[in-house]
This record gives sequence, C-alpha cells and structure tokens, in this order.
Amino acid sequence: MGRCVTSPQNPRVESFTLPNGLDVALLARPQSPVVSSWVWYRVGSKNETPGATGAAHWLEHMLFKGSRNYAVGAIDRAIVEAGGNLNAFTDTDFTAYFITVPRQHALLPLRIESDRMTGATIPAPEVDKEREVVLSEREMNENHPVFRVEEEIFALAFHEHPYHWDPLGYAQDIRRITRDELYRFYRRFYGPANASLVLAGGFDPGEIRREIQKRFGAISHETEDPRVPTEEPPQRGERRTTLRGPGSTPLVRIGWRVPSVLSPTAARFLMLDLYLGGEIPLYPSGTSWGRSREHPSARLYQALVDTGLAVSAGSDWRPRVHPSLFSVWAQAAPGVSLDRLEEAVRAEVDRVRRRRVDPGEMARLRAKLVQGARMGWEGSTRSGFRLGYFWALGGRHLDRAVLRECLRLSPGDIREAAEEIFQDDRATVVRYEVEPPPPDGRGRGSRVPRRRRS
Amino acid sequence: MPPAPALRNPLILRRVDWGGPMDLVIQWAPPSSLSFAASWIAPAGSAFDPPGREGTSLALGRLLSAGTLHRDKRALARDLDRLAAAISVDVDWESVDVEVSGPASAWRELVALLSEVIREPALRPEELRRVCREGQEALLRESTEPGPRAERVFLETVFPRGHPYHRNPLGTPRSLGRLRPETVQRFHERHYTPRGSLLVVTTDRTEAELLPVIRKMFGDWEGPPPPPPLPLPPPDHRERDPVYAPLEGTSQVEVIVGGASPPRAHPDYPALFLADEVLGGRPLLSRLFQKVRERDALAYSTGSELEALRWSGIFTAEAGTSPSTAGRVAAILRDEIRRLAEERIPRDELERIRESFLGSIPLSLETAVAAHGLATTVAAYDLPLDFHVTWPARIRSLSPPEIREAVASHWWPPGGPIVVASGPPKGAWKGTVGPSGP
Repeated sequence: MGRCVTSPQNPRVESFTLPNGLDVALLARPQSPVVSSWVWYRVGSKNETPGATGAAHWLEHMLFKGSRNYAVGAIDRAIVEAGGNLNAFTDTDFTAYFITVPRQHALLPLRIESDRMTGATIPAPEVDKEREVVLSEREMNENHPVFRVEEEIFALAFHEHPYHWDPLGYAQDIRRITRDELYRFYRRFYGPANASLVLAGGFDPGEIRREIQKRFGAISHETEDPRVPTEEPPQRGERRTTLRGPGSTPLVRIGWRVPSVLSPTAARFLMLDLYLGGEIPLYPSGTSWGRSREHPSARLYQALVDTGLAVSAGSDWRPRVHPSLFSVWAQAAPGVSLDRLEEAVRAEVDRVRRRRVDPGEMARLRAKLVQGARMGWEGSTRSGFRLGYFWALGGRHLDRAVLRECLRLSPGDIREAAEEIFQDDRATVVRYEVEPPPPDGRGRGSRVPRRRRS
Repeated sequence: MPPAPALRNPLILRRVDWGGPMDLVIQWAPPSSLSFAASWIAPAGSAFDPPGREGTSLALGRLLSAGTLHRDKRALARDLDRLAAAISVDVDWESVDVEVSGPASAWRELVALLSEVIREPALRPEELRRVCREGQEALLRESTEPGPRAERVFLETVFPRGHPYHRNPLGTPRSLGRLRPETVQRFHERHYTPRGSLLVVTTDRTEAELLPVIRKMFGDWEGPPPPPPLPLPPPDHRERDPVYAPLEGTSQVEVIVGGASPPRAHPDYPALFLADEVLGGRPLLSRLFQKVRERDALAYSTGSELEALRWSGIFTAEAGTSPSTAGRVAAILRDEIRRLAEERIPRDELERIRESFLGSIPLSLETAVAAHGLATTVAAYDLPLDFHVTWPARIRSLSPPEIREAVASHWWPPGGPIVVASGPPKGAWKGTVGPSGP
C-alpha cells in the first residue's frame, strides 16, 4: 500500500486501496486552514433504467436524510455547525459528495461518509417530501432554455444508451419512483469497491490514515459493476428538432458523437474544444472552474460574437466514460435569425475541418492548458475535486496521461479530429425559438449585480 | 523585516501610504495559496450614468476587457490565457470593482494589466456596439426569467423613482440604443480617477517588493475629484398589497418578500446581519431552509439575503416554487420575517447560527481570491483594518432582544410579496397586478 503520484505542480498525492476495494487519495497541505473530503461513486444516471430516470440524483439527496448514526438533518447540522459546507452532485457517470471543514474538524467528514456509504436509511416519509424538492429542482432548470436544449440534444443523439436522459430524470418518473426502488439502487451501487475517498488540506496524514482504516476498513458490501454494456448504434443521417418557449433570443446547438474519455483519441477532443470554445474541460481556466467566462481568443467567439451574429458562443466536450457528444452552440444577437446563426456556426466548424491550426495558435493552446493544469491545484476543495474526478472517469493516471498527450499533438491532429467528428450526416441539431410573450407579459427586468457580503 | 509566513495573517489588513491619491490596502495571501488578486474600486456605478444614457457605467465595465490602447481584445485575451489570469468587473449602482487574479508568480504582470485596463481602455466603437447588443439581450433575458424579473419589479416597488437603486444598471433598450463612444469616454475621464478610489491587493509579496511596482503603474495617474454625493430619496417603507408580475410560460415562479434596509455603516447592521443568517442566510440551518424546503418541501431553492451598501440596503427572502404553492410560500416568508420582529430568537438557535458563521471563516482563506473578498469588503466600506478579527466578538455580544428590535425597526412590515407567475397565481393568494411592460 502507498504509492506517490507526481502532478505538473508536483503535489505529493498518496494513494492506496483498502482490502475492501475502497480507493483512497490523500493530498496533505500542512498550511491549509481547511480539509476537504470527497467521496466519489462510479454510479450515475447511466445506471438507471427507463421509467426510473432521476433515481441516482434523487438518491444523492437522500444521503443527507439519515443513516445509522445520523438522524434526518443531523449530517447537515453537524457540518454547518462546525463551520463547514457540504454538497453533492450527480452526473451521468458518477455521484460525488464533498464536505469542506475547518482543519480542526478533519475527522468529522470521515465519520459521516463511512456511515452513509452503506448505512443510509432512506426513510419513506423523507422520500415523499424530497420527491417535491427534486421536482422543484427540475422545474427551476426548465425555466432556462440552455437546459432544455441540452436535455433535448442528448435525447436526440442517444436512442439506446442511458445518456439519452438528463441526470435530473423525467418529471413523470420522479412522480412514480418508490422508496424501495431507491433503496435497491443504493444497495446495488454504493459500497467501498465502487468508491474513491479523497482528502485534501491541512490534516495529519498518520492520524487520517488510522481513522480511514478504522471507519472504512470494516465496511463490507458487494456492489454491481457500474459499467453499462449498451452501445449506441451508429447514427445514420442528421437528427434535428426545434423547441419553442420563453427566452430572450434564439439558440442553436449542434452535436456529434465522439469516443469515450478513455479512448486514445480523447486528447484531440480536449484540444479541439479549447481551440473552438476556449474552455478546458478537465482543468479550470483562470482561477475559476466552469464555463462562465468569455473567450475572445477562441474561434467561435471570433466568428460569431465579434461579427455581431451572437451574444455568446462556445463548444462543449464533457469527458464521459462512454462515447458521448461534442457540441458547438451559439445564442443569437437580437434581430439575428436562427437560420443565419446556424449557417455561421456550421461555416466556422467547416473552416476548422479544412484548415490546420496555426502553429502560433497551437503554442498558445498548449501554454493555456499547462497553466490551467497548474492552477487546478489551487485550494483544497478544488484539488479534492480534481483527484476524484479523474478517478471517476477511469483512473487518476488520466490527469497526467491526457495532459501529456495534448502537449504531444500537432496542428494537423486537431484538423484531423475535426474532420473525423464534424460530419453533416452525423450531426444532431437542436434549435430554440423564442415565443413572443403576450402583451401583458412583457416586462422590465435585470439581474442586479451581486455585491459583497461580510 | 517582513513577518515570517506563519505570522502573515490574511485577516489583518494594512493601509499603506504609497505617495499617490489612491488608497492602498494590502492583505497577506493565505499561506497555502497559489494565486494573487488585486481590485480597483471606485465610485463609478450606475447611479452616475448620464440622464438618458443609462447603462453607460456597465457598458464601460464590459469594455475594460475588450482591449486597451496597447493591445487589442485578442491580444489581451491571449495574454490572460498565457498567464491563466482573469479580469472580472462588477458594476453596481454605487461603484465599480475591477479585479484581476492569476498565479502568484505573475503578480507584476497582473498589476500592470490592472493599471492598463483601468487607465487606458481602447473603447472601440465596434466593441461598444457589441456590448450594447449584449445588453439588449440581457434585458430581454432577464425580463423572461422569474428570478431576475421578480428582483427588478421588487426594486422598482421599494425604491422610488429618482433613487439610484430604482434604476436598472443595464440601462433600457432606448438608452443602450443611444449610447455613443463619446459618452463612454467622458464617463471614463470623469469617474475613472485615482482620487477617492481604492486599490486592494492580496499577495505573498512584501511591501518593499510591491510598492515600487504600484508606483510605476499608478504613480503618474491624475484625475478629477470623486463625484459629490447624490440625492437619495427615502425608500418607501409603506406596507403594500402584494404585487403580481405576470410572466407566461415558466414552470416555476419566484416569490420575493423584503424591503429596504439601513446602509452598511448603520449601528444596527450587526443585528440585522445576524437576523438574516437566522432567517435564510445560513446554509441548511436557516429557518427558511428548514421550513420551506425541509419541512414542507415547497422549493428546491430558498433563502434570504441582506445587501447593506454605502447609501442604503436591501433585504430579501426568496423562494422558487411551483405556481400552485406561490401563495403558501409567500405567507411563510412573510411570517418568518414577522416572527423575527415580534419574537426573541431562542438563545440556543442564535448560538448555533452564530458559531456556524464564525466557524466558517477559515473556509474564506482557502485561496487568495476567496480571501480577497474579505479584504475588499473591509476596504470598500471603510471598516477597521482588523475588522475580521474583531467581528466575532461584536456579533457574539448581540442579544436576542437587540436583534428583535432591529428587525422590528427596519424590516417589519416588509414592502410586500412579489410573485412572478406563469398565469394567475393560485392558492392562498390575493394581490394586485404589478408593473409590467417597458
């Protein structure tokens, strides 16, 4: 037990596996004022079945609703009263729980996570209440055209594979699923052999190792293999639909199916995404994680926003365990039609398919990637995310492997990737048309910028 | 001789006389941090927009990252990419806050970048047209989304015409259509001035290293005095009928209850801060979370917020809920504010909330960028430099009666619920149809 991994920034990450199969990664930062604990399970909406969509996400909510030694609400109270914060999220391929606490409470997350790994009680009255909360979460998302377009493009691009539905699940399934179904799902997939425990921050490694052994070492529970055997049949011909609803200006999103993040070609999609949209899907850009920034240096921004056709534009390759989707999107500037917008998006994609990336641009992309990977170690919470995320996708080695492969790619490789992916007869197109509001519904509105709060 | 790293407390700031007209406040970066952050804060918010040209200050803020006199937008974007740096600009009614952040090792370049984007933005006409297009879209978007729409109607109801907070910082479709480069240029010359402004820096560098760079980048900067105070019509504290802001086709509605609150410097601020934590500010423990979500399962998202600014403040209790439960949620939000005004908070509840908040302070010290948020609060509101060290004792000294009295004086009765609904609201609901249409 015990091996060390070196990252681009060289933090020493100690990783080992308990005899029951639990993967553990420890990143000790003696000066950090906090400890961030992450537990990742390799189960997500891909493990659901039609008629029971949304179960993985709903179950995630239920893991805050009581376990052997924590009554309903006690987990939230224990962490927040200690000054910590906690949350969880569910995606297609994984479910992750995190707790960040001031360092003097470093052992508290371990007590909670070990208790709910196999001891969640999932009480029926709480299931019924949480059903309404989950429906409310879905309704909140439905108010945003971007969510509706994303949900639809996956539904259209995948007919057989469970990537067909969004992790939030369908409302009719959420209304129907029973407590026992949630509990069975939990028993099938939650256990040490299907999980990774990551700790990053200001802890004493010896003490933490002993506590992990004590809390998790005795957990014994067989789980099912979460891999999904279903393969999506090849797409033959373009798929297309148009949604309508409230909103500001029209949207278009075009997607093409691409291999898994575990494929040897994954690095090419990452670089293509960086080139087209400007984001680094595996690492943060700047000091923030997520797709919130504009990227005036990226191709789609220049082709669509700088020319006045769009108010925003980008690309999206979210690394997934199974073959997934690479997409490009744009939101029209006021007065620009969907036809004109889609034509411009396709024209830019076509240009990327035909032309090699300029060597200077390639050097800039590499530099941006390296810096992003370096800054991805900022903060214990983010570091914990990074260590768990790569494990959930297939293994912590992916962090270095994909980065190394990206840096090895030539400009020609990017063009080849574009040529391979962007085939017209394999495209899936979702357009969102804005329905004009009725006369009394047109109103004033603005998001008032948020201000500091002590 | 600089203190040893272990003695560099990010919670104690230093105000440094560097020889220029801008106030300089320095904070030690947390020891485990990899990054650097600096902000320039000035009274250049939307309240100062020229009449008929509303949206000028926000447009200027958006133009800062669209190129300078020395590098065009692409070159600036590429330099930010190369450094893994970010520029963010926050414009509210009162001020602008331009923040640059990035790796600690690039701190010299980051200070230079901050100076360049503030002092020498290119303000190119084609970029202004782009920013105005985006502003028009933002106005449309925010009039079709329940949360922002409810917030806008709420502000226009609580603050009278003529009050800066009544204004939409985005401007109006008409004012954005009339915005010209000369207007933005004049606003920049008048309001982006070192006098009356602040530079806040979070760094692991010593003053001996930092000050020569700051002098080099800002030392020759001159400008007019800061703008004089604006007239502030008093907020409307009358209790009103609920306001219904119609919005078709949405699956969820937003309910807001709240009103005006005193400014940050008011002696009741600490009591109101704690009241807000109890009401809905403290994650997971607050009364609204416990009742609206945990007990009654009426909403995924609920909470409260107190925004105490220099001129005035705003407090809101909010929830996103189904149209069929909007009336019930509005009643709970209102009743919870009433309880704070009429009943003492039980001591054990108060202690739980208070200690949770105080215990969470180390979480703000994970990164330099997070710690920087603490520093800009202190600097922007003229708080004592050791504010974050003394604040725990101050809020521990507050008693339940003091909090009740503060809420009764300032928050009760609230301005009235506002609901944004798809179709007429249902349930226990009686109200008037509120402002609509531009």
